[in-house]
Amino acid sequence: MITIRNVSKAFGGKTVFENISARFAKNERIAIIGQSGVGKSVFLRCLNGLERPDSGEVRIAGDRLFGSRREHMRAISHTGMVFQQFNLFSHLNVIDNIALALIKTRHTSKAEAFAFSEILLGKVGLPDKRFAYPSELSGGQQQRIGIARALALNPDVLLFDEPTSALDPSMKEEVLSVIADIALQNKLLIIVTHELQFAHDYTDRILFFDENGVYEEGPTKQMLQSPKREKTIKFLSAY
Amino acid sequence: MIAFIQENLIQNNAWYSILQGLLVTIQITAAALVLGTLLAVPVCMLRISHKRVLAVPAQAFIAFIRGTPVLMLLMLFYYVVFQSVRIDAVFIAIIAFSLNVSGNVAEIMRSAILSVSKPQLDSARALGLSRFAIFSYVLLPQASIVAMPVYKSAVINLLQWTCVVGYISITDLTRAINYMSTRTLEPFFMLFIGIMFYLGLSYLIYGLFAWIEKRKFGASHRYYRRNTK
Repeated sequence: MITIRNVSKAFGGKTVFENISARFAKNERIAIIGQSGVGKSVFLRCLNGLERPDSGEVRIAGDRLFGSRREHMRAISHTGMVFQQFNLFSHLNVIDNIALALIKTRHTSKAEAFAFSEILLGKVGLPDKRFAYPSELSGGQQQRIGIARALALNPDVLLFDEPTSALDPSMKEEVLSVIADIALQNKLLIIVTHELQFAHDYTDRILFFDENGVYEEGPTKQMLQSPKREKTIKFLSAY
Repeated sequence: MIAFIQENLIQNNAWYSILQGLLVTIQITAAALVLGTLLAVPVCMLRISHKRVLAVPAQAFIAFIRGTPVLMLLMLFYYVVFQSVRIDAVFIAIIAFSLNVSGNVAEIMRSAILSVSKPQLDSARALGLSRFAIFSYVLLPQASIVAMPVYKSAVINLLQWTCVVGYISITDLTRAINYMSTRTLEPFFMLFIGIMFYLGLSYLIYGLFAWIEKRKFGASHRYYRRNTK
């Protein structure tokens, strides 16, 4: 589904990661872990065109990001993203937040877009909040709307950038349960997270990042129970 | 009281002169507002450009306009630029005030656009919205929420500053009131009427903006209103 070849990224001369190559298959569930500030989020943003890699290429379902405009937009259309700080459109109510992309990118009729948005609101457990504005919602509710918005375009790939980091423990639970439901669907799910229990329960593979990129990777159970390399062992021993 | 009003306002046709002046004030304010705001759009776009060759001239234009009193601008156009051209003074006033508005509004637009947070634009890009859609449905609505209160003040300022057009022999509301004060020898009464007109116009503008600011963005409001009846 996603093929990454020799992707490197630097900001202001400081290397974030170098020469990352990876393949993520459809239906795979990937957790990206590592200390804060090692470029996990930047890597995730390279997977849907929010950051342009300095070198290398990312292909999603064969379409190259930052290829031709049409190819780039086609590649993006396979992905949906959930942000750490929710990033809901503050000027739109919940139902418009979810339906906007359907109406403007897929040219779905308003009737269909709003009907589908209401179904998604039901799925994330907020059917009565359709006319609420983001500022009127709790963090957990905003994040659930963020997930509904990412699901609206029915993407094959779902990217989660630390979706629970800005939430208190009770809100974390409500959001993680929604993500757990999605993890059971047939989608490629890539989640940057510090929630190792969630990674343990719902992901197939873990990528551990250090200052230079992917330091160690492997099946979730093996990575969590018997990591091989020093930094991974040290990081996991803190949990 | 009625006799007083009849004597000072109706019998000598003062009301007609004041009304004419009022119309000139409205004409200059409305035309300068529309033209100035339209001109502000490209000026703002150039100003926020990352290319210095585009941004620097726009910055210089804004600095010149904002640093020059509008009365100076008005006299510059009337006595120098259009001195040898037979052209209506109202037209000159509209040009001067349009330029003044464009410089100020371009800055209002710039700060409003820059106030839209990057994460909001990130979400729009992540959803695959086109540049046009991001501009129209995310950037513009959010920037307009920030800009509206400042823009409202700019409009009120414009209305009040048009009172200087009397310097280039235009009979606007202020000049008409001044003229009638001298003719009727009732300056307090005439100035009271003038102030009431300016206040009335200002409140009209406030009302209009209050109505605009109340409107809601997004398609759902109209859709659900129409389909839940």
